[in-house]
Amino acid sequence: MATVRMVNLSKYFGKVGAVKGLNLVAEDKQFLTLLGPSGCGKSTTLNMIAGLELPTDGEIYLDDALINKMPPAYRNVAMVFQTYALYPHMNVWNNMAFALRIHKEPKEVIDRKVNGAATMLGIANLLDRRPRELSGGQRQRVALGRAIVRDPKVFLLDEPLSNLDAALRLQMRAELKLLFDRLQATVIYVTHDQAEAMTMSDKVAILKDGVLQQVGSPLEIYYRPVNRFVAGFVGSPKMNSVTCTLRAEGEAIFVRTADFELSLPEKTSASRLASQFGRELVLGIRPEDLHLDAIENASTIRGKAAVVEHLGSDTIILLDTGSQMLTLVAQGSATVRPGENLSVRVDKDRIYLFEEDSEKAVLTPELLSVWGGAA
Amino acid sequence: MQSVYIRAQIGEWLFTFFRAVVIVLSLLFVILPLIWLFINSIKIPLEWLSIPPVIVPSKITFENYVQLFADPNSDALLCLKNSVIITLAATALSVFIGSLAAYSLTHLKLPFKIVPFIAGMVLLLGFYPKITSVIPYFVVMKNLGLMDTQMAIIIAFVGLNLPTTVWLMITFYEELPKEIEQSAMLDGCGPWGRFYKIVLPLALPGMVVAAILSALLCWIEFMIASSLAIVNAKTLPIAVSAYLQDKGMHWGPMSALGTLTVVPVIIFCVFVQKYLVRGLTFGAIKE
Repeated sequence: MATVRMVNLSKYFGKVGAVKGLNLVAEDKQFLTLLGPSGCGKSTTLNMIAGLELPTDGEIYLDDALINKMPPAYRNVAMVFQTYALYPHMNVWNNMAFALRIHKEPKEVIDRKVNGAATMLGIANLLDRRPRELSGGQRQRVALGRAIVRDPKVFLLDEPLSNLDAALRLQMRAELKLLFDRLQATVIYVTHDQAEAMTMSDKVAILKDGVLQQVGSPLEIYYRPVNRFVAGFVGSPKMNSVTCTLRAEGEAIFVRTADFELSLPEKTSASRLASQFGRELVLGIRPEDLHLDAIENASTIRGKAAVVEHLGSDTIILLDTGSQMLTLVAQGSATVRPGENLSVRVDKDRIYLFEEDSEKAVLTPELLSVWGGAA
Repeated sequence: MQSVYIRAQIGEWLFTFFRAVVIVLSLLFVILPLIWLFINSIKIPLEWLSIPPVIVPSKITFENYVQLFADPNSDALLCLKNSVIITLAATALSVFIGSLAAYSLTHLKLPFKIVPFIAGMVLLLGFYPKITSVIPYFVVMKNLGLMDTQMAIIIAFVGLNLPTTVWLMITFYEELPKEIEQSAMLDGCGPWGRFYKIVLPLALPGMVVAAILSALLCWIEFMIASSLAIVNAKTLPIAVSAYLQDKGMHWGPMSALGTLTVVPVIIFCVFVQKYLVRGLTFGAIKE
C-alpha cells in the first residue's frame, strides 16, 4: 500500500480549469473520498492519479516517486469505473485474470488469486458467466474483484455505486467499507453522494469548480464547515439558509431575520463577532436541529406546515415562516397536518453563521464548543 | 363500445393490407428484373425480344448455361475465378487496413485538428465520382507494369472500399465505451494489446459489416475493372458486358452469366443479412 500526494495539481482543458492548484494527501491505508457536485473536478483528479489524464501543472507522488508522466500500466493502481467497464467478450474468470495474465503471472498464482477474490466477494459461482448475464450488483463485484486480484498500491473508485438501485447501494456501501477495512488498502473514492462520503471515509475532501474547499474527517466537515458551500453539501436534507443581521443588547447577541429573531448562546461574546455587526450574514440551521417541542419564548420560530413528508422513521416538514421555507426533520411519525400552525425551537448550540459575500463560516457548533471550553 | 372496437379492428386490417401492398410493390421493383434475367436465360433465342414479350417460355432450355462452361471460347470460368480471388483479397485488405486506420484516427491526438482533416479527406474520397479515378488508376497501373493483373484490380478496389470501411469502423470504435480501453490500459496492456485483445473482438460485428459491404462492391464493380483488365484479369461483370457486341446482343448467354453472377450474391446476402442489420444499427439501442 502507498501514500498518494498531490502538490499544486492543476488540469486545464483548453481554457477551462477542471482542477486548480489541488494540494491533497491520501495517507497509507486511508480511505479518502473526493466529494463534490458534478463538474467539480473529482473524476479528473482520479484520472490524473490513474494516468489517464496528464496534469497541466503540479505533481503527483506515489510514495516518494513522481508519477506525473508514468504510463498507467506502470503505476500499479487499480480503478473501478462507474460503468464497471468489464470486458464484455470475456467471462468473469477471464475478466479477473486479465491483468495477471498480461503480467505473465504463473497459472497457479492466477488461479489462487482469482478464486480467493471471487470467494471473498461471493461471486465464485459466477466465474464462467459473461458480464451481460450478470445483475448490476454482480457486475460491481466483478469490477472490484478485478481490482483486488492485482494487489495494487492504490484503489481508485469512480462513483462505483451510482449505477445501483437504492437498496443495493446501501448494502454495497457497507460491504465496501468492510472489504477495504479488511484489505487495509489506500483508497481514493469519488462520489457526489454525501451519505457515501460520510459513512465510508476516514477523510473527506470537498471540491467545487476544481478548487479544494475543505479536507477533514466526516464529522469535522459536518460540524466545522469552512464555508456555506461545504455546509450545504453535507447533510440531508440540506441545511436551511436564511439571510440575517446581528444585533447586540447588553451582553446578549441576537440574530435577526425577516421572520424571526434568535438569541445566541452566552458563550458567543460580542467581541468575538465584533467585525460581523452591521453586515449581511447567512444563518444556517440543519433540519435536525429544529425541534417541535417549543416552549413559547422570544426565540421561537412560528410558521405553518406547508408540506409534510412521512418517511416512517422520520417526518420531513417544510415550514412556511412567512417570507421563507425552513426544512425540519422530526423523529418518528409526527402528527402534523399540512396547514397546521407550528412553534419550533432551534438548538442554539448548533447554529451556523456565514458571511454573505465571501460565504466564509464565522460561527459553527464546533467553534461554539471551543469558545464554551475557553470560557 | 362495440362499434369503437370494430372500427379499431378495421383500422388494423386496413393498415396490414396497406403494408402488404407496399411490401409487394417494392419486392416487384427489386425482383422483377432478376426474374426476367433468369427467364431470358432459359428461353430459346426466338423469344428473347419478341413482341409481345413472352413471359412463360414455350420451351425451356439450359443450352446457354452449358455453353458458358463447355464452349472452348468462353472465359466464364476464368472470370469466375478472378472475381472470387479479387473480391476475397480486396475485401480482406480493405478491412485490415481500414480498421487499423480508423482505430488510429479515433485514438490519435495530433495538433491543429489534423485528425479530423484526415478523416474528412477519407470521407471526401467516398463522394468522388468513380469515373474520375479511372484514368489515374490506368496510368499508375500501366507505369507499374501491373496492367491486366489481379493485383491491379485488387489495389484499385481497396482504394475504392477504404472510405466506407474507415468511416464504418470509426463509428464502431466510437461506440465502444472508452472506459473499457482505459481499464485495459490500467491492467497493463500496451496499444497493440488493447487493439488485439479488447477492441478487435468487440468491433468484430463492425468488421463483418465492412467486409460484407466491401465484398458486394467488389463483386459487381465494372467501371474500374473494365479499364484495368483486358484479358487475363477479367471479372464476371466484364464478361457479362462482353456479350454486347457489334455483331449483336447475345441475350441468352448474357442472361445466363448474369444469373450466375447474381446468385452467389443472393445466397451470400441471405446468410449475412443478420449481421448486416445488426451491424448497421449497432449501438442504436443501449444494452
